[in-house]
Amino acid sequence: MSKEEYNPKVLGFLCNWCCYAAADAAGVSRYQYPPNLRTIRVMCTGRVDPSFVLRGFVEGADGIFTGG
Amino acid sequence: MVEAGRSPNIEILTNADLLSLKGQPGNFKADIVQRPRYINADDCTACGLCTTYCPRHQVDDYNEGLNITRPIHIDYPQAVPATYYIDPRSCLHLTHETCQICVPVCQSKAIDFSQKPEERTLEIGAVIMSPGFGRIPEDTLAKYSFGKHPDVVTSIEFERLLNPSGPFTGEVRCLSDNRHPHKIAFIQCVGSRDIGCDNGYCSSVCCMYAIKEAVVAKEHDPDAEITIYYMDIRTQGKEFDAAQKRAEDKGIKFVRAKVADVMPWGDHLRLTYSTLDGTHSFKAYDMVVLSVGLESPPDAQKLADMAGFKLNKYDFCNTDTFAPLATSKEGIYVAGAFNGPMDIPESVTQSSGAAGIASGLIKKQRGRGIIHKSYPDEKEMGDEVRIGVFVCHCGINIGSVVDVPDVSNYAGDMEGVVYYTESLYSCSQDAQEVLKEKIKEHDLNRVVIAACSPRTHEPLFQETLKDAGLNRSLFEMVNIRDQCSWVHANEPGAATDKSKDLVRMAVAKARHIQPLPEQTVPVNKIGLVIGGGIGGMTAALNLADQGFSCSLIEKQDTLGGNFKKLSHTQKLIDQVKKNKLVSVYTNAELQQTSGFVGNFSSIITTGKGAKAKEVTLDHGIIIIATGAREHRPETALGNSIKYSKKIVTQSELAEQLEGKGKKRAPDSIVMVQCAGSRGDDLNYCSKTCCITAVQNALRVKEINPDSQVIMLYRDIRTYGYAEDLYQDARQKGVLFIPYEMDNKPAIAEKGGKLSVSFFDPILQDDVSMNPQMVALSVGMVPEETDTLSKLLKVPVTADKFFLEAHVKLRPVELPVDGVYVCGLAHSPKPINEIIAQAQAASAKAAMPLVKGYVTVDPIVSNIDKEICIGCKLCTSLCPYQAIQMVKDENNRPKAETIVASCKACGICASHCPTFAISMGGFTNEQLNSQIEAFGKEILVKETEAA
Amino acid sequence: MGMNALIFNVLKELGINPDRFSLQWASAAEAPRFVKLITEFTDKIKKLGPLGESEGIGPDELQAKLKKGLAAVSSRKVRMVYGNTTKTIRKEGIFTPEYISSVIEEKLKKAIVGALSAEVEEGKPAAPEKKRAPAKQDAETKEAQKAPAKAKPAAKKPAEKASKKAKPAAKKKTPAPLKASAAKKKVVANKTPAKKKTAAKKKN
Repeated sequence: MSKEEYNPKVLGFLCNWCCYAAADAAGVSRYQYPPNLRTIRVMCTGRVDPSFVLRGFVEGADGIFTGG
Repeated sequence: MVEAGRSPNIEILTNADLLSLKGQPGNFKADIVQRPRYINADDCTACGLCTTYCPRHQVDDYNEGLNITRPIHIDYPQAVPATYYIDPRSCLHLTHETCQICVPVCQSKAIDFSQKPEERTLEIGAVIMSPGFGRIPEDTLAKYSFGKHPDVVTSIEFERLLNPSGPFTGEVRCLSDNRHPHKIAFIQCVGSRDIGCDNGYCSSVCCMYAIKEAVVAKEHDPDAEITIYYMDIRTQGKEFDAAQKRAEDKGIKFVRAKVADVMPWGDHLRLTYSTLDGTHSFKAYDMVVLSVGLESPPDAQKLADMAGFKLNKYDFCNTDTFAPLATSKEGIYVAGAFNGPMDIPESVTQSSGAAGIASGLIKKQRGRGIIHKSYPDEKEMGDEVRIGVFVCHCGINIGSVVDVPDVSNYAGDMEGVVYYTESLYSCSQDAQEVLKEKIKEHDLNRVVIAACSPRTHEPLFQETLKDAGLNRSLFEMVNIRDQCSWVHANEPGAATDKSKDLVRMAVAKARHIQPLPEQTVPVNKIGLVIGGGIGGMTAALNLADQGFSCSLIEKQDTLGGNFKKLSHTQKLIDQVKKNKLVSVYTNAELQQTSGFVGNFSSIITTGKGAKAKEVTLDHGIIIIATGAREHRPETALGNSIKYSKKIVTQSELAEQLEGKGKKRAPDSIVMVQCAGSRGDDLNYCSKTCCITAVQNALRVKEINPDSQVIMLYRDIRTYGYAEDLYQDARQKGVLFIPYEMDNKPAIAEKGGKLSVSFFDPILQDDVSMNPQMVALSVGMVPEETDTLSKLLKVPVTADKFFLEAHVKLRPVELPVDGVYVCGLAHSPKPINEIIAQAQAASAKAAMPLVKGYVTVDPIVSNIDKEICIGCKLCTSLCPYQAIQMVKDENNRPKAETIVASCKACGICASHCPTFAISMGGFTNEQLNSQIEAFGKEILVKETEAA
Repeated sequence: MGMNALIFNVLKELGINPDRFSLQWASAAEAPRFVKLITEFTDKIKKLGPLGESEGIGPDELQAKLKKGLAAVSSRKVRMVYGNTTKTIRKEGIFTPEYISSVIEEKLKKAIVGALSAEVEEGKPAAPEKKRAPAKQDAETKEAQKAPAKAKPAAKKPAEKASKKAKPAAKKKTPAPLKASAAKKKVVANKTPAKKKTAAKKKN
């Protein structure tokens, strides 16, 4: 993983109706952003349980992004 | 829009023109011509490659010409249908027979230059006209230097500037030199309330959209100085005043002034304006936004001639107050801005209403021609997890960045994966057949597709799964296009790694996917309408017209409500009484309601005294039309009010002016607007008072032309065509004098003599007078919405009106499924809007009744009663009232999901203290294993590893 | 809403930079905003370095701490308070960050600190697994600390979960009880050529 540049592991929980849709739209417009994000789609950010976040850190996430 | 695009029973014909329309209600024939788009919609995958290769530039009409696009393009990513098209005006092949670069570029061979215009005849039962609105002609804008200076823009252009998908990706920049404008002015009433361009009407929406745009611009740049120049601020809609106040608090300035002109001034623009006191001033601005009004659509006359209905004098569709959605030709209805300037909620309301009436007209044909698909039975699932992984190249969209074979091989090494492959276009028709075959061949019981977005393609693949006898839940999609290859185009290595990780996570989740049953809940096809006023009766009759019986309950001993005296109301009462499908209960009140959409049960009390009884009604839907009543404040504008023959409310005055035999009007009368409204006693604007007051003023002038009529106001809100009345009143000599809240008019009565004193901003002096009468515009308050709100668990606003599910898009639905609202219980509004809303509410309410069942997406929540401790947290947190408490066999309280009401947001699950709640398709187990797979690369098959 | 504050407080208590968690909003139309948010967030994490580094916590201690945190937010006691907090915020209808953190501060912090310190006293944090059976009963406080996230699924496949949990660092797959080896192997064998064909076809 870590060669010259450190590549953090970022876990994302994205709401199907908002951020996930925005991320799709970003793709359609070919915007570029860092490839570190690993997304888990949820139907609403309300679904994101605090335990998911802590588990994400346990599993080695360096940062966790939740997008509604 | 997407929903309409997906429905198998809605055929969308874009690029189409109506050529002729003939026939009778229930049996029309429409000739249409569909212009070619030169791209085969079935084959286009909306990958966008063609646009990148197209050599020709073209002005981007979607972005108001502020941007450049190519002749082959799609207006915006969410467009429906999501198919590109070629603009024949600029395409090099279509204009000069050259080029054709796009043809070989398109991997799915969707481009077809041989397409010709296609004529078709449609056989239809009813027609709804909704061509929208047109543009204000540019010469009207010329006096503000529009067209002369690039930094004078229309509000529509400004909207594009603000939009993230606009020309500067959401940054506001001057078109002249790309600088960020610091000083921005909005000019209201451009092309509205303007006899100069024959648009006497008020466009109703501009004040509100200007405020919205100003607020958004301010959010972009908090230091921006934004001024709105206006005549009257017309924020008469629900909660609009509050929005205006917020804008003011944010530092947006509102100046009551007439703008004389805007001229280029060095790098800037000079705006000259005159205020009420007669002084002229000018100011420099970086950008001037013209709040343009809504014009009638350009082909209105043509449409009217073709279909045979009438236009009004402003070339909008002509309609009647009591039939606001019907054109003058039977069987043809109208909705939206073509029916007069209106905002989104009202347009949505009108279209629901129009669809409802149209569906009533053709109810005999209901169900015919509807497409119902059937599927093979779901096959038995063994215990063994057998996952098939399909990785898509999407032509070169994914394949050119992500190493697809590598990802596919990687997937093959994962636990539970028994089949893996690549495909060129996994969404193509032949790929669906392959998918079905492979499911059979390898006995797959979970499918993972790594391709584009589940938001666009999940339904397609789920269809295929169903065709192959798999439950549609046994599917997981990995987005390696929109959220990977497209956005990491220059980092193929990292994009491949990301794809692998995402596939690994999806496979981990897929291992835990279980089939979820499709749930449907039967619907009791009976309605309950609460409130027997004009709205409630219209709704009840409308349900009956659509073939459904309903109970109409009215609190008072007769039907009619506020407008009992209108002849139209009397007609409605007659119709309701005669209609066999409507059962009327008077002196009736709702006591209790239980159940959910499709299966409500209510107890009402009805009758008076000895005849009083309780009745239980079973019904599938509820329409609330409980109305509002006149507010009678004891103090108004700081004056304590004693109502008498001399101090009256506007409705009392109206009655007096209609009085039989003795139509007498006072020699002098002062009307005071907003007495008790807009922050005085009530916080909101009651929308109708200005119009009523102006009508009364005109009536007084008609009966007694010499009468001195003075109206003291804050903003005259005669929106829409009512602006004509206002103009008329001014011409007939009614004096309109504005007052400010820091200098309110004083009203006193001493020894039977009235005195009113106020500050006249034109004279710049205090004025005192002794009118014969004072008429107060007092506004209205909702009828006891609190009780009903508790009984039905539906929310009310701070002002105690019912709060709709979505202000713009679901204006007549309440957050609790199966409960609808219309009329004054929703917000103050005039009669035509009440009727349109009642028609909309009944149209929406008829939807579950027509279907006979409610389908439930299996992603709803599911409560494990073993683990539930009955703490009730979920019931109180659920935004949709979709969880109820029940007793288990040991009489312990347990939570239970009302699947028909659940919206799958998951708040209950994420807050359950004991993890007793899980969401279909997003269980704790599934998400946890997805998270675990995020962290670990441990999923290599034992067999492979060994 | 409340979650942001809960995670913030838990991370702070654990000595982990709360900036590593971010809750943001972007509507479907706001692609540029999403891009900006995610770019900024990634950059921020990049600057912070691997989890634990900027915090000065070694890998083992970090795992221990995080598991403690996970157990805490999975505990019935904390979740009860968390739920009630959300309820309060909703009821008041005040959604300013200041107000939310004040409510959280007041109500939740104690529970969090309690749950975390209880865990410390018990020593090894890896404990949470086994204890889920009694979670169904009402032994309030005891369970509060441990009834872990797994409460439900664990009932079905205890072996798998436990082993995964126990050695998260291990790269090899341990969960033995899973099925499907033989059949799978076979198909993979058939399958590889098929796949090659696709690839070859594409090249042509």
